[in-house]
Amino acid sequence: MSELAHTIIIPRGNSDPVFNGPNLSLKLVVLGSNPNLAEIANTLAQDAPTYPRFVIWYKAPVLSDLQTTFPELNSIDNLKGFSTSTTNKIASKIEGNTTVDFVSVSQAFLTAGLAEFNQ
Amino acid sequence: MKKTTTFLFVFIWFQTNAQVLKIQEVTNSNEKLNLSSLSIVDINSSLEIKLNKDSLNLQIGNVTNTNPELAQEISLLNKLLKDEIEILKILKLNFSSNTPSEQILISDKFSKLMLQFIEAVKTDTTLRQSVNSYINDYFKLPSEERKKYGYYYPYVVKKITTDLKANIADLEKNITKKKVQIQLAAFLNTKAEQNRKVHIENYDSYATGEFYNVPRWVTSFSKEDVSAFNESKELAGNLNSLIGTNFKEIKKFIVNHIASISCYKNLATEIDALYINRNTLFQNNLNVVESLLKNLKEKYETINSTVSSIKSLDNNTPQNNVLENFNSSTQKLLVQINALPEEIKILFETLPANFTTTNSSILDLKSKLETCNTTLKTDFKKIEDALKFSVGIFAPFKETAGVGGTVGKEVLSFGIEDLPKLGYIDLKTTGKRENGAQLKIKIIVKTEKDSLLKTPGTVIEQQNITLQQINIHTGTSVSVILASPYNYDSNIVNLKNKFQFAPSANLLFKWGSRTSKTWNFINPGIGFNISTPDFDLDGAPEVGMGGVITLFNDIVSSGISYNTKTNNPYWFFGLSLPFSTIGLSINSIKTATK
Repeated sequence: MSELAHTIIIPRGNSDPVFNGPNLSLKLVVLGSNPNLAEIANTLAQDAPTYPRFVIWYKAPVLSDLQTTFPELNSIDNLKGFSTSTTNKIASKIEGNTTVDFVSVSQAFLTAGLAEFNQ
Repeated sequence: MKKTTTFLFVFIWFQTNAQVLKIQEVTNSNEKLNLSSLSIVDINSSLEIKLNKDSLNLQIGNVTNTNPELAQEISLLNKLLKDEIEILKILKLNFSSNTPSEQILISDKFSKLMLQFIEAVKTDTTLRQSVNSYINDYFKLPSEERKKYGYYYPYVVKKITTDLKANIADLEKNITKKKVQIQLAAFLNTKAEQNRKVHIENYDSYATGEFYNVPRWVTSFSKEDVSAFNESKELAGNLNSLIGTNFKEIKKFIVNHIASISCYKNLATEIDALYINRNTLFQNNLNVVESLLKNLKEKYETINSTVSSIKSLDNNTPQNNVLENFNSSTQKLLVQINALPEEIKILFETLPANFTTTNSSILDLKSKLETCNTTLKTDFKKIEDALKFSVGIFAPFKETAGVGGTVGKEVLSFGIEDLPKLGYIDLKTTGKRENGAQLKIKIIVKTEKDSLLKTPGTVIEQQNITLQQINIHTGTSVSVILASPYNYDSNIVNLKNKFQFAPSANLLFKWGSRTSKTWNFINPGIGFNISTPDFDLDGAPEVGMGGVITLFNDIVSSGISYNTKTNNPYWFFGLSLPFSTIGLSINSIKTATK
C-alpha cells in the first residue's frame, strides 16, 4: 500500500484537528480492516471540488469511542465506513455488502458535500 | 400503477396489431369510402392507400429486431448532454465574483449533478467498470496534467464520450447492415392472368414502360429510439450554444480581468519613455541599459502578442480547433508569465550592482516591475483556472456535443418518415379485369439477409380486395334457350315437342354490391332478350323479343318473349354457352387508353 497522505490512522494519528479544527472539511471514516476502502478514499481525497477531504481510519473501532464524536451512530457491526459533513454529521454509510470502488466512495464523499448545502 | 401498466399494455397491443395499410375507395364522384369488412370496391374506382407509420415501425421491428444496445448508448449520451448543459448554466451565473472553477464548485447544483451521475453509473455494471478504471487512470496522471481537469469528472466525461463515439459509430455501421427495404406492391388476379403487377402512384414509377421498385429504406428503430436521436441533436445544439456563450465570457475574463496585463502595458510605456531619454538618464551605462530596456520591451511584447492571439479567437460557437488554439495560447501565456519574474531578475543582474541600487530611474522601474509581478501571481491562478475550465470542461463537452450532433445522422438519413404519405391505384389503368377479380396489396419487408440469400422477403401485411361493378351497369350474354310457346295458332306453330332449342342473346342491366357477397355471387340481371326460334319448322329462324332475368353470372336465364313471325308468346329458360358475342355496351368496365 502506498503512503496514505490524506489519511489519519487511529490510534497512532490524531484526528482532533480534522474533526474539531477551524477549517471545514469532509471526512470519510474507515472502520476495521478495510485497506482497500482506505486507499480508494485517500486517492479521492486528493481531489476536493468543494471542501478539503480527509480519511480517518479506525483500525480497531470501538462503538462507544466513536459515539463521542458521532452520537447518532448505533452500531458498527455491519459497517465498512461512513462519510461525514463539515459539521461531523454522518451523511452516508458504506454497509458491509457495499462494493467498495471509486464509484461508491465518490458517492459517499459527494453525499457528504451535498449535506453541507442542505444544512 | 397497475392501471397505468394495463393501459400501456393495451396501448402497445393495439399499436402492434393495428393495420399498417389503410385503404379507401375513391369513387368517380370523389367520395372517399372506407372499405367494408368484405373489401369489395367498384371496379372503376381509385384506391387511396395510407401507411400507418407507427404500426409499420413496430412490424418492421418484429422482423428485424430492435437495437437495445444503441438505445442504451444514446440514453447515456443524452444524460451526459443534459448534465453538461446544467453545469454550463451554473457557470452563467456571474463571472466577475469568482473564478469559473470556484463558481462551479461552490454550487450545490454541481454536487447534485455529480451525485446523480454517480448514482446512474452504479446501476450499470459495464459503465461502472469503465468509470472506476477512468478515475483510477485520472489519479495516475502527472499532477500538472491532472490540474488541467481540476476534478476527475471532466476527465471521466471525456473518456466516456470517446467510448460513446466509438460505440455509436460501430453500432451505426451494424445498423446500416440492418436496414430494410420496404415495398408496397399490388398484384391483380383475373380469370385470364395471375399476379399482374399493378402500378401504385408514389411508390413505384414507370421506366421505359415497365415498373420498377423505388427502394424505400427504413431503419429498425422504435419511435422512442428516434425521439432519443432527435433529443441528442437538440441537446447538442443547446450545449454548443452554451459553450459559445461561456467561451466568450472566459475569453473576456482572460483578456479584460488580468490586472497584470495592464500593469505591464503601463510599464511598457514607461520603458519606451526611458529608452527615448536613455542618453540623458544613463550616460555611464548606456549600452547595458539599452539592452535591458530592449529585452524588457521584448518580453512584454511577447506576452502581449499571446494575449492578442487569445483576443482574436472570435467565435461565438467555437469549433474544436478554436478551442485547441485557445487552450494552446493560454497554456503558452501561462508558461511565459510563469517564467517572467525570473527572466526579469536575470536581466537586471546584467546591470552593475551599484548602478541598480543608485539610479533612481532604474530603482523606480524595478519597483514597478515587482508590483506587476505580485499582481501576476494572482493572475496566474486565474488564467490557470480559466485554462483548466476550457481544457477540462469545454473540450470534453464540445466532444459530447459533437457526438450528439451527428448521432443517427446516417441511419436516419432516409427514415420511415420519408415514405410517401399516400399511394394511389387507379383501377381503370390496371387493364382487363372482371367482376370478382382480386387485387392483392402487400407490404413486403426485405432485409439485407433476404438480399444475400435472394429470398423474397417477408410479407408483413396483405389486403385482398375484390373488384366488382357497383351500381347499375349493363352487360351482354349469349345462351341457348329452351323455348316453350303458348297461346299459339296450331296451324302455324308446328312443334312436336313442348320445348325447342334456340340461340339467344341478352342485353342485361345489373347492379353490384359492396356489402353482400351473396348478391354478387347470384349476380342477377334483368334485360332484353332476342332469340331465333323456328316454331313453324320452315327452316328459316324467326325473331323473338322479350324480357329476361339471369342469375349466377348469366349461366341461368329465364324470360318471356314474343315470336314476331308466328305472333305468339313463349317462355324460355337457358344456360350460357362458352362463347362470346358482340354486345351493346353501356356503363361497362373501363380501360384507360394508353
